[in-house]
Amino acid sequence: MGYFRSRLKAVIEKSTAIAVSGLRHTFEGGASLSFPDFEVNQNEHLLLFGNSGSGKTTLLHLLAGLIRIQSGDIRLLNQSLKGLSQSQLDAFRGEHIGLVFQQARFIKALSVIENITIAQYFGRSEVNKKSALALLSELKIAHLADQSTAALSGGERQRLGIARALAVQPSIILADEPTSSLDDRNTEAVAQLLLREADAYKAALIVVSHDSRLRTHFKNHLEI
Amino acid sequence: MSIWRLSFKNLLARQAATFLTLLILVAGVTLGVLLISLSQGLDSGFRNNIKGIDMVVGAKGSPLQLILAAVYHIDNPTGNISKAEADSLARNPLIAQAIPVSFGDSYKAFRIVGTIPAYLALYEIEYAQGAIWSKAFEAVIGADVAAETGLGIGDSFYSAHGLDGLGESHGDHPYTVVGILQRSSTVADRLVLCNLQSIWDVHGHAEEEAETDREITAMLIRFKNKMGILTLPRLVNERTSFQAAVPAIEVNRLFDLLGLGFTILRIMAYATTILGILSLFASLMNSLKDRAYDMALMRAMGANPRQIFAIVCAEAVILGTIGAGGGLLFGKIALWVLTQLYGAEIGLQFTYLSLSWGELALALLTIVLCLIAAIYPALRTMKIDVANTLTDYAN
Repeated sequence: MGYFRSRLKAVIEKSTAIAVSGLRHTFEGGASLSFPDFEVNQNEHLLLFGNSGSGKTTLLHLLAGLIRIQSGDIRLLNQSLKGLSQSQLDAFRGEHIGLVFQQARFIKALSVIENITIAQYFGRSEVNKKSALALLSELKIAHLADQSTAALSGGERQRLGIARALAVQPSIILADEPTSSLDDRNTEAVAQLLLREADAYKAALIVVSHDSRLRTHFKNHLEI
Repeated sequence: MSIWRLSFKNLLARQAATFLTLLILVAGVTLGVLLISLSQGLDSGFRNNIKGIDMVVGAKGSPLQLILAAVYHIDNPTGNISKAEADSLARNPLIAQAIPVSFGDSYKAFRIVGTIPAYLALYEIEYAQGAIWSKAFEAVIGADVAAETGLGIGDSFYSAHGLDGLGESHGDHPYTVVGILQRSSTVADRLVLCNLQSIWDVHGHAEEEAETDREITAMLIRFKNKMGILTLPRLVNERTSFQAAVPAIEVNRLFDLLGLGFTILRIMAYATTILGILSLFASLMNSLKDRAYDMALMRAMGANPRQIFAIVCAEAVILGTIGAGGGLLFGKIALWVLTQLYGAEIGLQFTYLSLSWGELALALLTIVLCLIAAIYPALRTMKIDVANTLTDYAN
């Protein structure tokens, strides 16, 4: 798996990481959304900007393979998500995609560091406490490693949320409103962190948000 | 981090529910272990003591009383019978062995039983010290008698009239201990044995009485073959002044009487175990909503539905295993306590050091039932809508 992953990384270094084409989604109630076509290359960032109800989160869930594609297609790392079964989608997501949520929530029964190693475990990556700890210190929360996640402050939670997304060294990072519940100072910090870490991992980064404070941090914007 | 560890942590995170479920499971399995061991212990205890005794002949009365008195020595005798008449019955060609027993006296509540050496052979008892009596007023004592009274070889004691140890003392006829028996887990552990002459002499009419007037309490009879059981009990009951009681039949009757107690214990054990399983089911169903987000998160991290299913099932298996293990442990401790308190008194041995197949089956069944109880909650957990759950909790 490791060999495969590194080969894959080498091949896609400069290539298209995310490609969306003709994507439409119809909800059970009958409401329907269509999304613009776009591409994101490896090592590139994109801010998907939209107001609530515009389908940002639905798009993110489609990209993460959490919702099945109804029409159109999404290709991630040259793999069409349409051709994957549910378990294959789970495996693909675990291995290649890091997800950051608006409210950073964790598995309550586990400590800070265990919330990282569990992501490694489910991402079919080698469970490595050392690299998990290195990741925590990269994000300056290593001193909290053995604490319960309930004890963390808002800023610490958001950093742990990012650390968890990075646990499997993903090629794609998807963030859903990562700053909407943070103050200006923390928003600034989280935005910097996401961009820096995405660069460090040579990952493609998509942030969906309606938070206009983020606009200045991204070169590429797409309104939906 | 593995599925098992994650499940274990999940259980720890729900301490109250986990503890309650565990408590009920342990109680259920403990009751089950008690039920199995008590009934096996009683059964083997009672059947041990009737090895080699096909029929007991004694004075007319309740056959169960006769067996309880003459074989188990836990009831009063039905009366005495003529030794001469008993001896003539013993000459019946269908009878292989007839052992007379005569009792009515005691030492510190241990019964003194006059008999013949064949009685000891019946239970295949070895001597810890000393040997069999050679004349009247030489006594061989059981292991419990030696341990509890402190009597040793060469010590002497006086018997008391009656079986309760409270009767008037027979002051002029001291007994001397000549043998101490090894523990045999039979009724002999709690008996003082001597020859028949000693019993007759104590009651002071040996000299003036004719041989034909001598009495014994009962006679323990072994048949030559199966024909005996078909004809002899009826013959004795119809043609002699005695009654014949068949130990196997009376023990079965006794167990039928005890059966109600065991049935109640069994129902309690079943009910408690089922309650434990239901508690597990309720706890898993209850946590379903709480954990929906946890499970959705795991799916977002790449867990597939089968893994989510396995996590819930593993929790049930862990609880079931700890519950069953704890129940076995507590059951065995309870049996040990029971054996210490009452084992000697009723001559029963409970198996608190080993596991029987029944107990292993009980433990396994508990674990399997826990797993079955987890299937529905696990299916429900597995089928949560990941995208919706993540969105719902985010807002």
